[in-house]
Amino acid sequence: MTGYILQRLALFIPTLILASFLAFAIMRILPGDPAIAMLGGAEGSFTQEDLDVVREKLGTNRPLHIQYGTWIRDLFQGNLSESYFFRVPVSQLMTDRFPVSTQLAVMALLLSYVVAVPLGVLSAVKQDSWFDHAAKIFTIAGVALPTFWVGILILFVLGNYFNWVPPLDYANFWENPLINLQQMIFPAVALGYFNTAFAARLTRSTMLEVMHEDYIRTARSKGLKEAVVIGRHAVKNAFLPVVTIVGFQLGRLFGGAVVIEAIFVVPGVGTLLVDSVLIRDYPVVQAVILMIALIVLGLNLVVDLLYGWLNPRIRYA
Amino acid sequence: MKALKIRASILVSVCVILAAVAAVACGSAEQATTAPTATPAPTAAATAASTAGATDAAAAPTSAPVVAPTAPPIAVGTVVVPTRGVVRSTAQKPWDSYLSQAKYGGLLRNAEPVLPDHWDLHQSCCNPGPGAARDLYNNLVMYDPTDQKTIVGDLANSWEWAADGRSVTFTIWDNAVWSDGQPVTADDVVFSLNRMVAEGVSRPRVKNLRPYYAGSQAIDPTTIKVNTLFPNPAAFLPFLAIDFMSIVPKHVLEGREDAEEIFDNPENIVASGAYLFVSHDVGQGWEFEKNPNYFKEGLPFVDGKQTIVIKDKDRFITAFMTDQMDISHRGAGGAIPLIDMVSFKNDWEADGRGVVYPPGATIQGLFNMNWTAPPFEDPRVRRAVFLALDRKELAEVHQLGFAKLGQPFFPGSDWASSDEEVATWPGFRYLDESGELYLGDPIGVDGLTKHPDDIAEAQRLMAEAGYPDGFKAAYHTYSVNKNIPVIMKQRMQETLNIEIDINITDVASVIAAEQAVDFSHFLSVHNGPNIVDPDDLLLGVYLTGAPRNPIDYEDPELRAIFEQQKGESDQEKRKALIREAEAIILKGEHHMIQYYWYGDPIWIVPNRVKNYVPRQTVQYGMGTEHIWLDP
Repeated sequence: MTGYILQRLALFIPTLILASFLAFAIMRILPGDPAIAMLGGAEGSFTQEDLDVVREKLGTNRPLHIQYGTWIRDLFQGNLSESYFFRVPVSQLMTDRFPVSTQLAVMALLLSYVVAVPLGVLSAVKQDSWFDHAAKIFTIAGVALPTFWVGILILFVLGNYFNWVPPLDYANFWENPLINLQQMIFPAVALGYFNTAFAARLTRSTMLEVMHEDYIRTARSKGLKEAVVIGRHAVKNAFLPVVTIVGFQLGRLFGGAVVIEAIFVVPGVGTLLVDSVLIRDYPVVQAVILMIALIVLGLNLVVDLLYGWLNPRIRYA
Repeated sequence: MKALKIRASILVSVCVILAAVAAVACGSAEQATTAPTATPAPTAAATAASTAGATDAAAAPTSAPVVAPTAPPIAVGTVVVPTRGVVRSTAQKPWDSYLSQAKYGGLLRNAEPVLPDHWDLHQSCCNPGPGAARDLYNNLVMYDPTDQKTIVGDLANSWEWAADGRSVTFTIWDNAVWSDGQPVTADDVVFSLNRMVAEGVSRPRVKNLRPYYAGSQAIDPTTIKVNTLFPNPAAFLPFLAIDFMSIVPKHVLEGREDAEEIFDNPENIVASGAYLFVSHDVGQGWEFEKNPNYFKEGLPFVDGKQTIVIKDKDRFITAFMTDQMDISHRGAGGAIPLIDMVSFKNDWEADGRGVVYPPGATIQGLFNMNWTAPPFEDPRVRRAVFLALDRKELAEVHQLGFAKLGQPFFPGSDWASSDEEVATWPGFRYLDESGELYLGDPIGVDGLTKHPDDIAEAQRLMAEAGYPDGFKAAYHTYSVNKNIPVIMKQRMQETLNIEIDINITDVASVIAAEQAVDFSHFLSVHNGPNIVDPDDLLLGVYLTGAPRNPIDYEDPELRAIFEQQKGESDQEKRKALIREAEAIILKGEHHMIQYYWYGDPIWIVPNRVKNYVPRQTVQYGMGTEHIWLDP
């Protein structure tokens, strides 16, 4: 097991270094100029001299390798530098925004599994019943519909039929949990729908596979009650592949949050990333991408280790 | 059977969980069922006031809150600068006209789609800056919020020009105080004016004072003499009244190493405005409270102002549909596309909820031609494109008709020619179904065709210039403008055999290419003037050194006219000079062609918001001290 952990860690660090390089390089390769964005882009009224003043102030006129080196050096010193546009330390923005997105992602994940697992198990147990068909429609729609569209649809239904939409002024969960939940639950539902559908489909198919296994037949032939067969033998084994996608799904939720946060005015890291990309706020974009990469890599590492622990064949392979 | 019960209980559990989640999320029953309160329909008189005021300075509304059930596009009037020598008495305060009708209290909730670039307005490039911060500061002078055309005092209570027109002396209110308790003095004004024109630092909008400002001196604690570079600079006060020209405290900023940074954190702002800063959630919104020591007695009317940044158009609209927001004061154009604006406006106004002011026509849509290289180095080719361009089609397709033909100077203003005159200009002419010249604004009129003589003349010029079979040309622009080259590609191919290769990139690449003159043929941008004054366009687009003219095209005749008109104190003579400038631009040989005028802001004003008058350009009028709520 130790060797397996070391092997996984050895892959983790170079991947993170590569992510840092990509986060830096992509913004420079893409067209755009933070100085122009700060001067208003097409809305602005400026000359080449104005541009030069701002480029000098931001330091974006320095050679790329110097800029990258400075950023990495600052990172090792725990300094994420300062946002070009917001003019506050990037670390402050991250501290403000990441907990919000994390709450959204965790709520979406919890909601999706609370729904997906029973849905998948019942669909498999009641294969080809009306319930199974209804669940199939629900899950296929969830996989097919874009997340942003689900968000807009929810907003439309709430606004038009209930004359109510989630509050705009963000409230911290620990300060005002009721308002916070009012704000977060619908974005979580919109964000988690795909995951719900995907996990339910996966649960159903693995359950069906497991239900035809010899040991299930053995359990039944022993005279165990169906609930025990399903709960103790089938679900436990069918759940293994579902667990492995949690890391992937959580990473995807952070990505999906980019759009959903904008639709529901949730002040998370997704809106921060979109804002920062649009205005070419390099320090913020780099930090956010690196942080998301770190989270996804960390989650995958945990899942890999967990999977290796659950399934010894993996770590011996 | 037991297994069935387990399954059923699982299903029931899921339903219960979902129901509970929905119940929590929907909040209290009261919240969920609150319906919008019906408000009485505004009067026709108010409508008339709002529309008449746009074109006739004398008929400017002075009292009634302007809320119309249906609002026309914002027409453009001429800036009214009170006659020199007239001193506004301290007894006659600009806000007296509406003070007695106002109601006090409430929180003004403002929806804003764009984040401010700077809270220090001297460094701000664009209207999201003053959209956020204007209420914290005062200018020396401002546009009267009840007509958005007349220059009135802000910190200044009077001003008087010297007989030689080379200086203007301002007197400021003696009871104005900074938020740290210090008095606002003439020294602060001198410091601020000098800071606005400082070189070597970023001053995107306030640098507009540089062509006029020679220096200033504090005569006494409340009197400032401002010297100008030439006599009677007509555009000086109108520029000084835009929202970027804030007066800042000398005692806070002078000599600081971080003077360029400190006010970009709004917590550090020391100012004299109607509101005081309360809080700022970076990237999300901000909150102000009423300044209890505000020198304009009786203002502001609301207790506080909360701004929330909403970027998604659906969420933006839903916020108004469900009464979560009171106003989109800076404008919703950044969030709501025109097509959505039209349907929202129809629904909103049909329900009697308030007014959605569609965009006016004070932004120039234009494209550059690289006149330094073939084929556009030949003025005949530039004129051919000028003549063959179908401006009506561009306006109708890209702006859904919310536009005016691209005449050189602000349509609807005293500087403009009438629609009837414009309709006779080569390049702007259309024939109706009977083959007669259509005399009027052709945009939105069915059955008109471009005048064949213009096409024929354009083809003749191309042949004469050696391009009878046309040429290939690249057209570089950003995605917001994408329809323009698409339409042009078809029309230019049909009429002049110009085969256009479209290159759509991000905004920054287009602007960088414009500034570095790194484009081979066409490059389209737009220009948002600050004030309705010819100087703004001449210095912003048409003459060398202009931000929209990095390719350094200049017609010497136009420069001569600019120099003549910029200090002309006789308005009629100045108008006559601008007619001459117009004729030069209409030769169609410039480095750019302005295809239409359009607007960007969309102002959403529910009935409960009173004393709101939309402004003429996008660069001023973002203060809200004059607005009250009628609960």
